Amino acid sequence: MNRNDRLIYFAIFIVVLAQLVICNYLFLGPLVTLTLLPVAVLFIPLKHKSAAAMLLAFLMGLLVDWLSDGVLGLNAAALVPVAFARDFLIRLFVGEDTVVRMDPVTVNKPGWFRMIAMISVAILLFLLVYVPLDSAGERSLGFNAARIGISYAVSLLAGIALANVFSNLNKREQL
Amino acid sequence: MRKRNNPITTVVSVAVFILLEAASLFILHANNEIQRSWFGTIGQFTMKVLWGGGETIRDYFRLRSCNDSLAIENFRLMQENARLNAILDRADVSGVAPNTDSRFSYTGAYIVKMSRNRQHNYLIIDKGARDGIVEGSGIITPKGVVGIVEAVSDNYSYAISLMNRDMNVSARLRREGPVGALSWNGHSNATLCEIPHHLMTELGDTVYSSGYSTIFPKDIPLGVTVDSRLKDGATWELEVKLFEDFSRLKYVTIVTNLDTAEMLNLEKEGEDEQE
Repeated sequence: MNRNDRLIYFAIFIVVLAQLVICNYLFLGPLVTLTLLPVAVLFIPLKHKSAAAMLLAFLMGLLVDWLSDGVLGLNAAALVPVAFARDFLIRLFVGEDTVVRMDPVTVNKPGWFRMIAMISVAILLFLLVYVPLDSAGERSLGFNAARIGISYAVSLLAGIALANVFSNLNKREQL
Repeated sequence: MRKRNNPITTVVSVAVFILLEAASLFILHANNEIQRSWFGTIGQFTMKVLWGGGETIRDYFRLRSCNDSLAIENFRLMQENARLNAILDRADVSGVAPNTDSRFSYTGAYIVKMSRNRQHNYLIIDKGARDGIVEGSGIITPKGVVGIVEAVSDNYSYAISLMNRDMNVSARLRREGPVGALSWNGHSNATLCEIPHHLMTELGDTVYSSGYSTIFPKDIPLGVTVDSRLKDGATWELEVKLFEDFSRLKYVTIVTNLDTAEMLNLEKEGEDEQE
């Protein structure tokens, strides 16, 4: 593991702490779920294969659930599909060669448009699992749809900022 | 450098995904009452759909036995109907019905082989001597006459089909009309011959079995007249469109006249006396 990878993992750890703070102290209403974790999962170094990324995502989700006194297993169940789709999303939006060569993911190569598309899909995938599992049939379909829509918008803004941070960290390695 | 599209990696990834997702859902199920209840509801719904689907498939495969039992019930009802008709026919003027049984017995059968594209077509049915079938038994359906049994083995019977140039059926035009011989015309319809010239006929008249034979009961609907022509200036020859579609035929009823031997003996005695 090189220095940049350690830096990325440290950043992921910070993101997990930030998510804990959000979950415990930042209540934005029943319709808003602000999540940073899908973007963090996307930036897990590609040197670690999909299985390792899924395991890490599972542990991250479980840690957040456990320490935030939320629904245990909820973030884990929603993050594992994002980690499973990570390689596919990077292949699709950044490029096959990035995955094959295990290059760090930066915004330079795909550009912001593709980067935002990739983050969007990851966040949507997360919310499509998270919201129905959280409501557990107690909320109407309309409520869940509204929650997914609003949470997606809020999380996307936070995700773009976070992607910029990760991208800059990866750029430093490329330099 | 990673290999492109390594199948082993893909399989491992999918397996790990299923494992971790299952573990997450298990943790969710084990620690949260609302989610547990919801999973229970989803589980019940899924089982209902699966069991319902399974039941539908089982029902489909049960159709054959269901068909068999319906066919048997149908034959029993036909037999009962024939018996009651016979009682009505023989009832005296005071309206008191004698306690008598029908001349005919009915047995359901499947067609196991049938030819349709020859001039002398035949069929083989899955009932034979062990089922009480005898040579000369008739084969009918609710839509008409199918054939006559010509040979019988223990388990099967060979019959000539109505779609056979050698077969004639005594038929009546309308329920109370004239009687003639009905035979296959070699194509899709049949021809009713020997209808006297002076009797009026109309296209669309129904043709029934006459009952003037030892083989078929009377009043089995056979078809409707679709064309007529005068033959030799003496009799009408009527083209009859048959009700029965032989290409879709599967189940038939074998009808056996229980008084055949007695009637034939009587007929023979009468002929001998005349000679």
